[in-house]
Amino acid sequence: MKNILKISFVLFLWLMCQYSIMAQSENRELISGLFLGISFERFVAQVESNTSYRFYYKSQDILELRVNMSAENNSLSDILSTLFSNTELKFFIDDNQNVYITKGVLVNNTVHQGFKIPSENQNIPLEGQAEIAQQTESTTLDRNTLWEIGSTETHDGSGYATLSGVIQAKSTREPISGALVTGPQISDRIVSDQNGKFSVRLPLGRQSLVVQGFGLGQERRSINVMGDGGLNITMEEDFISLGEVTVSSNRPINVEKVQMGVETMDISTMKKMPLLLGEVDVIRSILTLPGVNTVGEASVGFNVRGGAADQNLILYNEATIFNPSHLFGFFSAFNPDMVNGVDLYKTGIPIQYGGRLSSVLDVEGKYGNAESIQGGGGIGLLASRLNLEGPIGKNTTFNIGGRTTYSNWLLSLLDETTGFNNGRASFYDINLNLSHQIDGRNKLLFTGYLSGDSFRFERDTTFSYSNRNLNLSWIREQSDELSFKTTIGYDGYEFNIISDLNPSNSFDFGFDINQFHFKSLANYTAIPNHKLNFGVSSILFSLNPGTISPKGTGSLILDQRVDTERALESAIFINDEWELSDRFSLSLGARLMFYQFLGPTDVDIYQEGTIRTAETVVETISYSSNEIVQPYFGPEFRIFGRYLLNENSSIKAGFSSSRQHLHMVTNTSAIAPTDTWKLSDRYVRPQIGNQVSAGYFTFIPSRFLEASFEVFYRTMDNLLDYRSGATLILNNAIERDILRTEGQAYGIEVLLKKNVGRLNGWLSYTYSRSLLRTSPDELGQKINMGRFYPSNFDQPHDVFLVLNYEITKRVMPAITANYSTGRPITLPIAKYDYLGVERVFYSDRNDFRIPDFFRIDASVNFEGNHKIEKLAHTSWSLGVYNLLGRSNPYSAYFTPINGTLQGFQLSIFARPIPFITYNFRF
Amino acid sequence: MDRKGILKICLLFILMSCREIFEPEIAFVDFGFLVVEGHIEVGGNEVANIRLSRTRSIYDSLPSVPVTQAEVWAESDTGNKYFFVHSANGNYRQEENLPFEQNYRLQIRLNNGLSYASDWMSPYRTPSIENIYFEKEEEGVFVYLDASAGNQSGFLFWTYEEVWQFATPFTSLFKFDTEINDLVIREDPINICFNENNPGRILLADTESMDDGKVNRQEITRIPNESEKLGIRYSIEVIQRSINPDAFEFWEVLRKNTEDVGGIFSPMPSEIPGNIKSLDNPEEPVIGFVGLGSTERKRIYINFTDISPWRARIPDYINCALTDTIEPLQFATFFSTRRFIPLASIETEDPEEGFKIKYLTTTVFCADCRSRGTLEKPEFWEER
Repeated sequence: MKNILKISFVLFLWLMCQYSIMAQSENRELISGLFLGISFERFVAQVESNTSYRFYYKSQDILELRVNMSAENNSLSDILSTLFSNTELKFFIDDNQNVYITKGVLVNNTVHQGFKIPSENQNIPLEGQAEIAQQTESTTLDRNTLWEIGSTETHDGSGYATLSGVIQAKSTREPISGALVTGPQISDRIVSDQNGKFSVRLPLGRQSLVVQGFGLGQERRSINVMGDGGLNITMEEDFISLGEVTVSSNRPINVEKVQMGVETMDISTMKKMPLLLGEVDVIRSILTLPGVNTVGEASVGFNVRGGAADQNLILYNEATIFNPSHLFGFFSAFNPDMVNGVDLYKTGIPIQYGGRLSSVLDVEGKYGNAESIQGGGGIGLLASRLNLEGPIGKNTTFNIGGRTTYSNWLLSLLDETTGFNNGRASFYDINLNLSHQIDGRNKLLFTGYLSGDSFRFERDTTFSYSNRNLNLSWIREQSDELSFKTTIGYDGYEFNIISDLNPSNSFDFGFDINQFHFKSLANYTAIPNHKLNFGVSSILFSLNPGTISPKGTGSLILDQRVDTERALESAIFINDEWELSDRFSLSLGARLMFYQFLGPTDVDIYQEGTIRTAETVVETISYSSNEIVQPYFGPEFRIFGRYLLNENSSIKAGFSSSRQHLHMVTNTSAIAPTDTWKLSDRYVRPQIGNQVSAGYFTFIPSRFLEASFEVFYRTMDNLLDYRSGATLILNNAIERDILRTEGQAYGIEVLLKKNVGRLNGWLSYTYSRSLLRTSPDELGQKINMGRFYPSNFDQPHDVFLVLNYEITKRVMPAITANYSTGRPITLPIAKYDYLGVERVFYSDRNDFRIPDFFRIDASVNFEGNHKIEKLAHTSWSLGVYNLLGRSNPYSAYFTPINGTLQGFQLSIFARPIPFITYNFRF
Repeated sequence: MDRKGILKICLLFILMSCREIFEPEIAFVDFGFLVVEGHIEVGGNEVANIRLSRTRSIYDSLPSVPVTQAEVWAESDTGNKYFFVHSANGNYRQEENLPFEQNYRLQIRLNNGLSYASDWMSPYRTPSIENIYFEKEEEGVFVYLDASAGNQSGFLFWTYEEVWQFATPFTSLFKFDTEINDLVIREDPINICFNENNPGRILLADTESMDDGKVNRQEITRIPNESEKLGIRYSIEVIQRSINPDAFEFWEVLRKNTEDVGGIFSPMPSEIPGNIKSLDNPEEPVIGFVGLGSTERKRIYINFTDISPWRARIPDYINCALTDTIEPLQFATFFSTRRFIPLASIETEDPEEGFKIKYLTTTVFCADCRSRGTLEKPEFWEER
C-alpha cells in the first residue's frame, strides 16, 4: 500500500501542475447559469445566493480572475477546476459545502488523484512506472494499466463518481478539443471542450474508457473508479487532421436539444466523401441528409422538404450568398478551407433568421487560429485553392483563402467542329475572415467574400456573374446575463451577358440584387430556466431585375430597363427556451415582419375580375421616391417542445411558420443563370409557409448509434408559377404572367448515424411528396385544370448511404450511394404536323417521371507521413464519381432526328468520372 | 434577349453528358386530338388555307392524318359567313376576299357533329418586307431581312421556304435505249435538279422594343459553309405576318416546345394556349392558332458566283467514282439493270486490240440527280 501511495504522490505532483484538483463532497448541488465575463466575486455571490455553498478565499488571490462560462447542471468542482485550470489556485470543498480556495497549496490533501496500479498479469520495470507517472508518452503500457480513480474514503456513497481530465496531443501538449470519450458505462456524448477538458459521470467499479476523434486514433484506458478523480490522456495526433476537427458549439446532443429538423455537418466529414472531380462541396454534401434533394446532378440549388430552391437562405458568416454555385452549378461557391461546418435548419429556423420558407443553410466560416501562421491548399483537376491563417498581433487573427480554376483546358479539348473549343470558362473566389478581441467583453468579426464566374462560347457571347459580401459583427458581453451580437453588412449579386456576334444586335444584358442588412441579437439568461433571444433586424433590398443596352454604335437594340425595385424588410423577434422540468422543455418564438415596397415606381391597376393583360390596365399610379407602395405585415412563429423519455431518447414536436418577400423568377426546373429575383409588390404577395413536425430521437449507446425519425406536413401559399410561354426576362409587367400557386408537402425522414469507430457513416431515408396547384381564385388558364400536380422536385423515395472505413490512419476509403425516385417531367403524348414539320403535344404538367436515380461514388484518402519536421503535410484524395457508370437521366425530351421523332434521356455524368486531388498544409 | 446563348450552355452540358434512347409506354397511345393550322387572309392577296388533322401517337410512322368532310367557315361580327372549300388532304381553301373592317372568328363543324370555334380576332395589316439580303461571313452565308416600319400589332412572324439547284458529280451524255440495245445521245440533261426544304422554323420578333416597329437585319437563316444549297443557284421565300400578342405567345411556346427542350436550363414544356376551343367539351384539347390579317412575301436568289469561292460538298456523293469503262458488247449486261449509267465515250488505241470506243460509267445515283431531287422547275423559278 505504501508503494501505491508513493506512486500516487508522484502522479499527484504532476497533476498539480496541470490543473487543480477535483475535490469531492457529498450531496453536491449542481450549478446552472450563464456567467459571461464577470468577476469571480460576483460569481461567488451568485452561487452563494442560489446554493448552500460558502466560499472562503483571500480576495487578492482572485483579483484577476474572471468567470466566462455557461453551466448547466454542472458540479461546482467541475466549474472551479475549469476556472482554475491556468492558475495556481486550488480548492477544496468540505462536507458542509464550504469551499476553500487557496493559492499554490491545497488545504486538504486527502484527495486521491489518478491512482494507478499495474495490472496483475504484467511485470512492469520501475523506470517504466516512473515514466508513466509523468505521462510523457502514451504507450501500450498506459493501455494495459489499470488506473485507479479517486478514493472510496471520500466517496459520497451515491454509486457514481465524476472523472475529469484533459486530452492532449502527444507531441505538442496542445489540448485536443472535440475528442469523444466513450465507454460501455457512458451513455451521454462526452466531448472534450476547447481546452481539451472533459468530465464524465461514471458508476463505481472497473471499466474501460475509450477516447477517439477524427484522425486521432483511439486511446483505451482501463480504470477502476473508486471516487471522484482525474485522468489525463495524451493521444497520438494526426498532424493534418488537427484543426479540422470541429465540434460546433451549437451542436447539442440530438436527443437533448429542443430544436428539431436541424442537420449539422463539419468540414472534415465532407472532406471524406467522394465528390465530383474531387472538389469538396458544401451543398452536395448536405444532399446526403434526409429531407434534402435536388432536381439534378448539375444544379447547385437544393430542395428542402418539398420547397423550391429559392426558399433556402444560404448564409456564410451572416452574409447571404445569392448564387452558391460555380460553373453554373457544377461546384458550390464555398472554399472548403474557409469553412468549419454547416447547419441546415429544415424547420424551426433560429429566430434571428427569417424571410425564407424552406430552410436556412448556415455555413460557418473559419477564423484564423491564434497560435501561428499556417497555410494549406489543394490542387485538383479543375481548380486549386490556397489559404493562409494566423494571428496578427496579440488580439487579431486572420484567415484568407482563394480558389481559381483552369477549366479552360477542358473546353479546349473539345472537338473543333463543336465550336466550343474557343470557349472560356473560369471562376474564382476570395474570402477573408478577421477576428479581433477588443477586450474581455468586446470582439469584432469581419467577413469578406467575393466570387466571380465567367463563361464564353466562341467569340460572341460572354456570361458572367459575381457574388460580393461584406459584413462586420460586434459581439459584446454587456453583463453576465446579457450579451449582444450586432451585424451590419452588404450582400450583392450581379449577372451579365455581353453579346457582340452581330453588330446590329450586340447587347449588354444584366441584372443585380443588392441588400444592406442590420441585425442585433441579444441573449438574456437572468431568469432561471429561461434562455431568451431577442432582437431586431432590417434589410434594405435594391433590385435591378434586368437591363439591356446596345453595345457599340451600330446596334439597333433599344435601351430597356425593368423598373428598379426597392423594399425594406424589418423584423422584431423574441425566442424563449424554457425548461419546465428536467424532461420537458419548450422553445417559443415569434417574429413580426414588416415589409414595405418602396417607390419610385409606376403601378398598373387592372380591371377587377379580369385576367391581367396590357388591355385590362385601367390606370397607372406613380409613386415617388421612398413612398410606401405596398406594405405587408405578418408574424412568424416557431413553437417547439421536447420531452425526454429517458436518458437516451426524446420526442419532439413543433410548429413553424415563415414569410418570404424575395422570389426567384424561374420557369426552368433547375436554377438557371438567367433566373432573376423579384420583390413582393402589389401583385406578388409574400409567400407564406406553415409547417408542423414531430419526431423521435434516440441514441443506442452500446452501438454508438444515433437514430432519428421525423414526420412533417407543410403548406405553402402565394408561390409563383407562370402562364404558358411567359417570357420572364426583361418583363416589366411580370404580374401579367404570374399564376399564383399553392403547395403542400409531407413526408417522413429517418436517419441512422454512427459517428464512432473505424467504420462510420450514416443512412438516411426520406419519403416525401411535394404538390402544387394553381390558386383556385386565379383567373384564366390554370395549370392542369387547377388540380394538384407534383412539383419538379417531388421525389417520393430518397435513400443515401455514406460509409467511411479507416483501414489505417493513413488510408481511409469512403463510399456513398444514392437512390431516389425519378423526378416528375412533362412528356409529349402525341405528335402532329404544324408548319409542315412534326411537332409534339405535351401531357399535363409533371404527369410522368424520369427513370429512378442510382449512383455510387467511392474514394480513398491517403494521408502523407506524419513527421512533424516535414515542411508540408500532404494528402492525396482519389476516387471515382458514378462508379457504376450508370446513366442517370436528368431529363427526357423528344426531338426529330432525320425527320422522325425520337425520345432521348439526357444524363449529365453518364460515365465513371475519376478524380485526384493533392492537398497540403504548412 | 437572345436565347441562343442559353441554348449554347445547354449544348455544353450535352457535350459533357450522354444522350440515350428513351421510350416510355405513353408514347404508343393514340389520342387523336384535333389540330387546326392556318390563316385567314384579310386585306391581302393570298389564297389562305386552313388545314385540319389529328394527332398521332409518338412512335406512329404514318404520315399526318387529315380531317376531311368538315365544314369550315369564317364568321364576321356582322354575321357574315365565308366558307372554306376542301381541296385535298384536309386542306380547306379560302374562296372569298374578306373585308378588313370586321372582326372574325373561325368555325369548324366535323362530320361527327362536333363543333369548334376560334376566339374573335381583329385583322392586322402586315408591313411590307423592305429587303432580303445575304452576307458571306466566316461561318457561312447569312440571310437577313429588313422590314418596313409601322407594325401595329407589336409582333412579327416569319417562316421561309428554300429551293436550290444541285449537280451530280458526273454528267451523263448518253442513255441506253432498250429497243435498239444501244446508247443514244441524251437530249435532256439529268445532272442538275431542284431540291427544297421547308424547315418549319418559326422566327419571331417583338417590334415594340424597336424604333417605329422597324426590324433590321433579322437573321432568317444561315447556310453553312460547303452547303450544296449554294452550289449553283438558291432561292428563299420569306413569309411575313403581323401577329397579335396571343399568337406570339402561341408561336413562342410552339417554338420552345420544339426547339428548347431537354437542356438543363430549358423552360419546362407547357401546354400550348391555342385560340380554338371545342364548343361541346371545353376540356377537350385542341391544338392550333388561327391567324388573321394580311401576308407579305418576298423571294431572293443567290447564285454561286455571288458568293464565290464556294465549294459545295454533297456528303451523299462522297463515294462516287467511275466504274469500269464499258465496251458496246457489255451494254445490255450493265445498263439494262439501271444500276449503272454511261457518261461519255473515250477512244482507246491498243497495240493488240487496235482502235476502240469505250464508255465511262458510274452508278446511276452519281449521275442521275433524280435520285435525290426533281428535274421539274418550280413555277416561280427565274433563270439567271
